[in-house]
Amino acid sequence: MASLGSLTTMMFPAVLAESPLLLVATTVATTAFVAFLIAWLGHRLGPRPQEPQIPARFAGVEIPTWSNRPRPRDFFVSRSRGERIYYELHGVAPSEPHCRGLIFLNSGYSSHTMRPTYVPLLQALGDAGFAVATHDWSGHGYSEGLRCGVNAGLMLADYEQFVDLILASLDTLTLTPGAVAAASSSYSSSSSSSSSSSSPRKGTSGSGAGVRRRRRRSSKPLPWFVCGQSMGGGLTLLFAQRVWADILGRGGGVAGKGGSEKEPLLQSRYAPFGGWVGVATFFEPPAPPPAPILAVMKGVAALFPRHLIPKIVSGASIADECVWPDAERIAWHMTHDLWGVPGGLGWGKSVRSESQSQSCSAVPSARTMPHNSTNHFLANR
Amino acid sequence: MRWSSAAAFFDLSDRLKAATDSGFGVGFPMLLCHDPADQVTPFAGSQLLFDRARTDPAQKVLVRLDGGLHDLIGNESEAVAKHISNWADGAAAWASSY
Repeated sequence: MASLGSLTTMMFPAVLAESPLLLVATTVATTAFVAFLIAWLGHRLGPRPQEPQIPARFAGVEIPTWSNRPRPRDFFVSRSRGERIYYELHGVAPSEPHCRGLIFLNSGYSSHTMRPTYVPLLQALGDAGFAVATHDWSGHGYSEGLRCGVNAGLMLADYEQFVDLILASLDTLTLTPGAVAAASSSYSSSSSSSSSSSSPRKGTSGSGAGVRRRRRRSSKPLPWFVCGQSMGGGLTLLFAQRVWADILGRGGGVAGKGGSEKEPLLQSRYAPFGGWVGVATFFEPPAPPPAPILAVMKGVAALFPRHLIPKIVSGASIADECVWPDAERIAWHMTHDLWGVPGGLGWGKSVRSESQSQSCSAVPSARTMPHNSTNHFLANR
Repeated sequence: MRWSSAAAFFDLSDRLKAATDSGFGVGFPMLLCHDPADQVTPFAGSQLLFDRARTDPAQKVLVRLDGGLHDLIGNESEAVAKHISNWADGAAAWASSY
């Protein structure tokens, strides 16, 4: 006791030594703090749980197997990080004389182009005579990368690489005809109240005759466009701005920051760039915080980039009602999205796993889509 | 959402503002589809992009798709495809003119 007393006298002010109760309380508090510190460091430095994992609550929902994974040749390796980036080619082959143009289509944050959401649009654009090239952003869908990790500079570098890859091989690309139509799962509404104009498309449209009237002379270069949804809209706009600036010598090359701005774009290849389509484009967060809070947030992001923002800070996640118009449509999307696919977005700490599990439990009899791969693979490569 | 992703969205927003503020930033054909009631990405962003773009008025189109909500591609795929199809020929003509 004497040695403990002298030790505490050395460590703590005399007032503590004279008050045993205060001494005990301080010792307990210090010990608890040190234990917490050790535990926290252990958590930070120790092995991380493997991601993705199948959440137990998804049991009973059909989850495609590993055999359904995309084939290796449907990836390209990004120069920026060495990740495998997944891509698909849809619609009319660019080499076809009646092809009206090539559209690069991309999804938004936490989404991916394998979602059934995209199938009707891919079909409609193909029916209208367009070739469509899609790729999943890094960390999204089947692409590698930190799940739902966003980095505009690196994503734009990947995007530029993808556009280069496709445009450089336009003459040799051939698409598998009809793959989307065969693999798509049409939305069959049990409710007759759904209007056909607002529900996902049912089957293919009969606009092929109109396409044939718009034959493109093969000698004419194929115009190409970029199109993106939400976050993809913002990213593709920056890319378009960079292409346009490089071709016409205007603008500031803003999009190239952090990407591969040192490599000049091939101007002749990009000459027939036709413009940009933004669907529900992201431009600014709905409620940007005040500057001091934003500065703190960026500081935390620098310290803990991979960690999820606690709900108490981020608030409620986006309600499905903001995305889809009715409960039935929400349930359809929940059960038809391939979020269960390894690498898909329902895995691990995805932003959507919570709401999807709720919707699935609410609609136990909802149909699930056998995953027959909606890919359009290159036939002759 | 991850901390880094949230910060990246502000970074993306800053880049977009810089790209459009310059006055020379955007001059190519553009088609914007948006639901005015979109609560995830406000319609005002598309309106601002549309207003600021120096694109020839004949080459820029802002389409209001009421009731489409945020997943316009899923909810209004036919309308989106139709607008793209209608807009693309003019844009392609623009592309062949330079």
